[in-house]
Amino acid sequence: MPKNILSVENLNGGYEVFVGRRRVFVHAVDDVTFSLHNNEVLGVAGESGCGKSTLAKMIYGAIIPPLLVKGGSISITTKGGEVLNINKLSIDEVRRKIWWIEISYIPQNSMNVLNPLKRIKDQFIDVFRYHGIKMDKTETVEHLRDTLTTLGLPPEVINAYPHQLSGGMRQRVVIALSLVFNPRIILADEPTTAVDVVTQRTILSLLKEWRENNKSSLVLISHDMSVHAYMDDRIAIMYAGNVVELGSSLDIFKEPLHPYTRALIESLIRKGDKSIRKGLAGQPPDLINPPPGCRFHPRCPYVMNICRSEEPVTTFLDNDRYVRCWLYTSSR
Amino acid sequence: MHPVARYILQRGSLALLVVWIGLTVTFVVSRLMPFNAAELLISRLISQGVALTGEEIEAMKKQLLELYGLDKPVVEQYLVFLRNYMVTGEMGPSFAFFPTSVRDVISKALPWSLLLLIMASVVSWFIGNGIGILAALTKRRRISNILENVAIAFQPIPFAVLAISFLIFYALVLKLPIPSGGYMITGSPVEMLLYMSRRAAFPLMILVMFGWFGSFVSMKAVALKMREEDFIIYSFLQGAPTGSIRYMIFRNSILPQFTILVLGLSRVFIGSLLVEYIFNYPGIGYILQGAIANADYNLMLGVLFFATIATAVATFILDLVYPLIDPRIRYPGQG
Repeated sequence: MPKNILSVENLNGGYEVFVGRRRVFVHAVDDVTFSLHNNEVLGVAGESGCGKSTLAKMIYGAIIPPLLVKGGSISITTKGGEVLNINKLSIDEVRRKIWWIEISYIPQNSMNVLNPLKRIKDQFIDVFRYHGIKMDKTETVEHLRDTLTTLGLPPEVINAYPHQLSGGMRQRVVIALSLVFNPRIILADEPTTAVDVVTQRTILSLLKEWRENNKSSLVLISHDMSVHAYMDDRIAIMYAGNVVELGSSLDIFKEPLHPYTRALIESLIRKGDKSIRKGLAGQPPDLINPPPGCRFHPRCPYVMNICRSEEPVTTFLDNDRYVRCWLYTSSR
Repeated sequence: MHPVARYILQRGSLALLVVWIGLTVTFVVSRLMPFNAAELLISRLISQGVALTGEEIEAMKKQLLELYGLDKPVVEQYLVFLRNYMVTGEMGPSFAFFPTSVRDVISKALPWSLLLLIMASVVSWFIGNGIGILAALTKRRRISNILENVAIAFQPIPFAVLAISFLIFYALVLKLPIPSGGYMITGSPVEMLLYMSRRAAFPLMILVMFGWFGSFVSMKAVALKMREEDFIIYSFLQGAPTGSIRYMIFRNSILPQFTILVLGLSRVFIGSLLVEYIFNYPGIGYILQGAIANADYNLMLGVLFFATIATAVATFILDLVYPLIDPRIRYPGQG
C-alpha cells in the first residue's frame, strides 16, 4: 500500500460573511476526507464555486478570516518524518515550517503574481531570505539558470523584470519558484487557466516531468476534465463542498459512479464523436443554504426519495475508491 | 550617440522649448494688461495732489516709457526681452523699485520663499506618507480610520481659514508669542540662514500641521489597495515574514507619491502670497503680487521665469529619475 504524506479527515469549513447585519456561514468545504499518497498526482475536479480553492487554502494552512476551519484534521508527514497537524499550528509556525519547504503553492492567476519592481533572480533570492536559508548568490543564480533552462526559458530571463516576459513565461517562472526547495507536495490551483491549450500542455508536461523526477506529489485543482485526464493518477470529484467520488483516474473515466461524475465525463469531447454533448440542467446550489439531503439531488437524474432528506453516506468500493451516493448503498 | 544620452538631450531641449513658450505667453499676457507702469505712477502722483498740466503729464509719460523701454514697438520689446533672458541673463530694471534690477529684487525675496516652502513640502510629505503607510498597515483599524476621517474633514478647508483660526487660537487663547522681524539684514550667509530659519519656523509649523493630510490620505489609499495585490498575497503564501511584506507594500506604494513631491517642489518658486501675507513673511509671493498691482512687467516676467524654469526642470528630473526607481519605465533604446 502506498504511503500517505498528507491526510485530510472530516474537514469542515467555510467563510463567515455578513449579509447586511446578518452573519452567514458559507459552508464551502463539508466533511472532506482523503489522503495524498507519496509520488502521485491527485486531481480535484468540480465546477466553479464548489469549494476546490477553499479546500486548497485549507490544506495549505492559509486560514485568513473570513475563512474558518470548523473541524477535522489535516496531517502532513514532513521530510524529516515528523507528523504535523497543520490546523493545530499557528499561522507563523505554518509559515516557517510548512510553506514552500513542505508544500508549495501555485496560485490561480499565476501570471500576475510576481512583484513588478524586482528582477526574476531577486524574487528567487527573496524566497531563500524569507525562510532564513543561507545561500551563495552566484551559485544560486547559476543553479537558477539551469532550472529555468529545463523549464524551457532562455537564461537571460533571470535578469528580466516580470513585465518583460509573456504570460506563459511568467507562469513558468512561478512554477520554478514553487520548486526551489524541492517540496514533497505541490498544490496547484488552476495553474494553467489563463493560457491557450498549447502553452497549457507545455506547462503541464513540465510539471509532470519534474514531479516524476523528484518523486513528489501534486494536488492539481482544475475544473477542466481534460487536464485531469492528462495529469492525474487519482481524482477527487467535488460538488457543493463535498467530495462525491474519489478513485484512480482510470476507473473514474472508465466507469464513473456518481451521477455528477457521469455528467462531467459525458460532457467531454471524444475522438470520432458525432453526437451533441449533453449538459447538466440547473445551477450549483447556494452554499449558504444548501439543499437538504444529498446536495446534488435537485439536478440528479436518478433522484430517489431518500436523497431529498438524508445525506448520503460514504461507500467504499475498495481501499482507494469511494462514492457518496444512495444509489450504491442499497446494492451492498 | 548613446541612446540614453540622446534621450537626455531630447528631453533637455524639450524643457528649453517649454521655458520659451512659457516666457512668451507671460510676455504676451503682461503686454495685454489694460494699464502700464508709467500711467500708474502718474495717476498716483496726481492723486497725491501734485498739480500737473496736460502737457506735463504727456511729457512725463513719454519720458517714463522711454526710461522703462516701453516706448519701442512690442516686437522689438519682445526681442530685447528674449535677448536679455536667453543670452545675457539680465532681466532689466524693476519699474516699481526703479532703478533696482529685477535680479536684485528677486534674489532678496526668493531664498525666503524657497526655505519655507521647500521645508514645508518635504516635511509634510514625509510625515503624511509615514503616517499614511503606518495607518494602512496597522491592525488598529479604528485609530487609522479616525485619523483618515479627520484628514478628509480638514482637507477641503482653505488654508487661510485654518491658518487664521490657528493664529487666533495661538495668540489669543494660548497667549504665546509669535516670532516676527524685519526683512533687510546684513551678515554672513550662516547668520542670514539662522535668522531666516527662526523667522520661518512658525509658518512652517502651521504649514506642516495642515499640509500632511493630502499625502496621508493618498498614501493610505494606495497602500491599502497594494495590500490586496496578487503579488503581495503571493509573497505572503511564499512564507515572507511580516517585515518583508510591509517593506514591499511601502516600496510599491511610494512611487506615485514621489511624483507628487517633485511636482509640488517646482511650485515653490512662485511663492505663496497667502502664506506670506498671513504671516507677514518677506517672500516672492509678495513681490509677484506687487509686480502685478504696479504693472511692473519686468519683475512679473522675472518671477514667472523662475517658476517656469522650476516646473520644466522638475519634469525633466522626474523623467530622468523615474527609470531608476521604477523598472517598468525605461529609457528609450534601453533593452
